[in-house]
Amino acid sequence: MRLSDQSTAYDEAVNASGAAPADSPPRFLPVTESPYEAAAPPAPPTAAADQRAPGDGPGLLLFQAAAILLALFFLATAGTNPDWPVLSRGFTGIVLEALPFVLLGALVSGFIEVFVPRERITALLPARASYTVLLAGLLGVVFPVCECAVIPVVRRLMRKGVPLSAAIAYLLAGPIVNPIVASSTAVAYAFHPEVAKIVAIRMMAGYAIAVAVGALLGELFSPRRALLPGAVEDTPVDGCGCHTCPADQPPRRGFFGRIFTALTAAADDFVEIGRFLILGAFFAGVAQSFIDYRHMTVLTSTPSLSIGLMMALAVGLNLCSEADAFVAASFQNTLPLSAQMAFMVLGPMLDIKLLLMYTALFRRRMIFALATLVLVLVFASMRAFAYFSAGAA
Amino acid sequence: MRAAPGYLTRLLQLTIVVAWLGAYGWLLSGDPAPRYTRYLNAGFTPLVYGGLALLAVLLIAPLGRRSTQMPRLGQLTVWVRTAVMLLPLVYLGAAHSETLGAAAAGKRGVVQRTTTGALSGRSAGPRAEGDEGATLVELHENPDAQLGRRVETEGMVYHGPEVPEGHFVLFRFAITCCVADAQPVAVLVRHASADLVEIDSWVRVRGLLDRLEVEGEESLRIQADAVEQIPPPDSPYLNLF
Repeated sequence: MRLSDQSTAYDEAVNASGAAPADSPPRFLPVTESPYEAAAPPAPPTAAADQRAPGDGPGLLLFQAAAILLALFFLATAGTNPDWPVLSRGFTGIVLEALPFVLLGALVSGFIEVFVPRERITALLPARASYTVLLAGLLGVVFPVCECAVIPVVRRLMRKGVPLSAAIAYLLAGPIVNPIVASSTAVAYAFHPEVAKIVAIRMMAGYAIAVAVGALLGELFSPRRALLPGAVEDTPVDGCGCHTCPADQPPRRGFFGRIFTALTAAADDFVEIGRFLILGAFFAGVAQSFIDYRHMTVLTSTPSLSIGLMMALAVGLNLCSEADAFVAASFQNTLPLSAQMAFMVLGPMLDIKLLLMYTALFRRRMIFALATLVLVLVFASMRAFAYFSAGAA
Repeated sequence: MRAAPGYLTRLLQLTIVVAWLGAYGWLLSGDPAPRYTRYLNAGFTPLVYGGLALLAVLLIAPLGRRSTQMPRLGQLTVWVRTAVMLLPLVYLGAAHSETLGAAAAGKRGVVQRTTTGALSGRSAGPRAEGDEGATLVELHENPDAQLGRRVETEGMVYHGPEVPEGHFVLFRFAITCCVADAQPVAVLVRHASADLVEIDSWVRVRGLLDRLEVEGEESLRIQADAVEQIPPPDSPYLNLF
């Protein structure tokens, strides 16, 4: 069965609305049967699934509810809490600073979703796997995605025949190596004397780690061993509600109709992504209110400890990649740059939210291998960065 | 979980966008200084206007969309997401008049921040309306030029066990990007009635600038001949570049 013979409902709708023809760009990838199809018999729909409305899982709902209750508790006890100004100011300050970038990311994502057919993405990738993984790590430059949206996009890419190694490289690098994250990082460190260097290191570290992990996992796992049965199918994605799913947003006709469709997708994504920024900023504010910087000298003088702490914070705060630089930058007067960089590189690749979303795509062994590799490589690279920075100083 | 009605999802989405649009508009207003300077570096005016513009563009979506076109989400999901999205606005309203004070300054090592070189090469950003005399950042920027001269500056008062006898610490928080990264900038003040100056109060100090060695480090100090209580400024934070 040739993939090119299959045309999705979304692609038909896009083509009918006057979007660029799906087959106009030259394809580098051979159009053959996808290895993922052989591994993935479609799961039969269930009656319960038809009636159940998509939404957040119980764990995520509970987490959000707990955060809301905790926030209200702090609000109610503000009069007796000497750390209240730090918490409230830190929380609101981070949100106010980062929200414009979340808005920008949502708008860009919405417009890409409507105006750029996915065949354009796969057509850019060469057929040879080793070149593909190197190029896949840079795809975010032309097709930026947030970490929330990347999984449905990667599913679609693999359905189109992109190798597992390249898909993982894009999964990890796409949310970091893109113009929006670069600019938000530059703004977050706008008044740092080495802002260009910080942006460059973040981009290069994100790219290198993503490509390394993608190449390694591509060697260690076959698609059958890596992916859940039925994971790579053209079915609506309810994992995060980011509305990169074609079934959710059939585009309107005409140029202005498509702009409106892009805006509706952006509005949905704004709420989807913005809430993770808000949750992360809240817990960052809580963390800052507890921290006594007078006792931080042991951390600042021990790079491994500070890097480990910021990595743990990155996994726990679940920030989006457009906004995490602002949280990292809030520590620029207290923690070394290597620790801040560890936060900014790890967060878009691995956090609690992403781990939950990975379970919709990968088998447990694959998730374990991916998480372990990412953690080890981020720690090792940032530790090396700390070592060489100290030597240079 | 039952699906939320489309009109409810649309109404809540509209509420979120309108609420944030109003919040950014409110933050840009204020006299003499825009209200956002209580949260962000004053140099971030384009960022705040950018947020306002993007929210205005996004408003088109919930306004022009039919309820039947809204994403189908569980009721609880919709309500919880809305509550999370509006949470910062609740904090904005409840805590707008709050400022970081002596408790936060103490945790951030305010006494160590009196040492020369505490700014680590940073420089002063835009001054706020109403700042009189030299700001504490300006004193730290180039202390040698002002040593032995009479200076006048303003700030908040800190007392603590690590402060030398007969002194208090005069500080203000300086922000790089937002209040989350705020660090105190401080000088010691020697005054005959130092113990009587109330902690967390705003004062204007006039006196001679010199240095004092504290625990092996040289700190900036003002030998004050006048300490005057003043009302809190509209923009309590200094800006760093």
